[in-house]
Amino acid sequence: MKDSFTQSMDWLHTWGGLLFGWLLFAIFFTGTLTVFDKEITYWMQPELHHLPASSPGDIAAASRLLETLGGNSDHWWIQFPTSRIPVTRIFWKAGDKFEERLIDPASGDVLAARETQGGEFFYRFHYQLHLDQAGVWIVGTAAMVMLVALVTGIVIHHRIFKDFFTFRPRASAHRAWLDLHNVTSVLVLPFHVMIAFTGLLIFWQIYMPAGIDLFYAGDPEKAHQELERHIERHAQHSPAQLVSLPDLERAAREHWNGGTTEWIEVHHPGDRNALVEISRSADDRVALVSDRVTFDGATGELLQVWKGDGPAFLTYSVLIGLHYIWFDKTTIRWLYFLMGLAASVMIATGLLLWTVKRRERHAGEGATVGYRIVERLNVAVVAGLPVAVAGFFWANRLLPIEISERALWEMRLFFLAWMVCAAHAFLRQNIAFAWREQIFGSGMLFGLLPLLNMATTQSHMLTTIPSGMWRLAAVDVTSLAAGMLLGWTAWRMGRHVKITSQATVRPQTEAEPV
Amino acid sequence: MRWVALALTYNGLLALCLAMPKHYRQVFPRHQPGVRASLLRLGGWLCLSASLAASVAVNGWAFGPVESVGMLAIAGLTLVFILPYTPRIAALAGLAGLLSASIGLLL
Repeated sequence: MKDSFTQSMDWLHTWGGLLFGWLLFAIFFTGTLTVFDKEITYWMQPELHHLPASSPGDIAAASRLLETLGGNSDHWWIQFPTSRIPVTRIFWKAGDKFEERLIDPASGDVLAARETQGGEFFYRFHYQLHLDQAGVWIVGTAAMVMLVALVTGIVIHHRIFKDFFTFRPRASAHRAWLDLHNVTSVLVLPFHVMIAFTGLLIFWQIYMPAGIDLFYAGDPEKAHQELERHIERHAQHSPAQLVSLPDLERAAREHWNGGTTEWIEVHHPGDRNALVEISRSADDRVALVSDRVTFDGATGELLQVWKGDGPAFLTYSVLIGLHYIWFDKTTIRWLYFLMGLAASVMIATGLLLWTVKRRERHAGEGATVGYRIVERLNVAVVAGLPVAVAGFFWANRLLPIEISERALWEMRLFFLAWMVCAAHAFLRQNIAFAWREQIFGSGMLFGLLPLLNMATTQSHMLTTIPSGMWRLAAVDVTSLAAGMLLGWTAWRMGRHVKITSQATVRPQTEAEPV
Repeated sequence: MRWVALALTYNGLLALCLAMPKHYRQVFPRHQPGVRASLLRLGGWLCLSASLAASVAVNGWAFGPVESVGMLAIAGLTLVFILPYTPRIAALAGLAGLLSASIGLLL
């Protein structure tokens, strides 16, 4: 009985992992980049790099600007600079659309920055594959399969403690890949489980709507309102001067024990029923929840102090906070980045194992069509996606600044590069060359990115490192390191290809490892 | 203090790793861990507990454990990737980490 149970778990792990592996690799790889989404966005807008780091936003200047630009608007937002992006952003509702401007926090001048999605591109890909609601469902299904693969993986791993530290790179290909798959799974297991589970939790109302259907007549807005208790008011359409926002912001901060302001939101500015909501930045806590103070915008009267500290809501906020990591902890951010890479390696090696196992089993026989498709898709996704990502960074620097739909063109070039890689993966006769050329390609693109940056901007490694602008320098340095690692891998593969092509004549004998 | 936490995590995992005969032989090819295995195991768990304490001391109870789990994963992977190629360096890296961490603490 035990054998059949383990076998069925093995079956589930193999086929569930294979079917969703490509998707999961893409989700995890873009998720890993999303760890540094704001830093990537900042890097991708060199027009903002002259701004001094962490200067507090000038609220009066921002609100003056909103009065002139969004004078007729009924809804304003100001977002303050953070240590991750030192720029103030203002938004206003114009009809059905939202307008946005970036402004210099110190002077209040409007800044012109190139149009780009920046790190937001990877973020959107990570949770909805740029397919809106359908994408959310697909990613949710993949996350569920990930949890299943983790549980079944633990069940079928017979020597989870004995092989805890075991990695035998010089053993047979199957053994070496399996070891790599195992150590990247087992050592990083708490992260894998946490990230898949909390990822599902973020969209609980989409995946498990029963509670909302039952208690709120299927309207998630009603549930949010009961949790977050925003005060709602209609405009009276009689004019009244808006209270000074800097004074309100100062008053709000007194409720926060040293916390800083992230957002100011104004409903019905200039109306007698104006409402000012000031939200605390969540950058110093795990929980992703913004405490809020609400004032009457015409009289300045304090209307509400809201803290998201109900037990259930706080639990939820901590769990999704662990996934989003919007808190400002650089060490933890880097650890997440490395663990995300480990997760990507785990998935990639899992995919490779499927073919490696079958290659050894059917040595000499003609491979089936299914086997060939899996083999090629592995190249297209595992080697092709990094090429496309590197291409996205290149597109950001090379596309002319003034072309229309510039942000869209960056995305188009990303998908174009990926499609070219997919075509190359299927058309290249010798699969070893397909792997090697694409890995070499991404290695070159990442490795040369710092040089491209030097050629196209003033804020490159030679200026950012001496002046201690680490958030910018880190993008170049990481890219260079990735380029060197990928280039070295391609070089090693080249040697390996030569060795194995000489050795294929000899029959392979595999000793059972101890 | 963060470096102290990382060095302790690495050494904790290294000690637990060396407590297993097959890994002990990787570093010291002619010896068996023998009674040292229990000592290594004890030392390993002590180091890991101390590293959690250090992380919590720097970051508080909210962020400390998060950082600690991340360090466990990354220190573990570092050890596992060095060990098969240069086992001696994997062991010496632990010593170097401890040494630099204690110098950092004293200064």
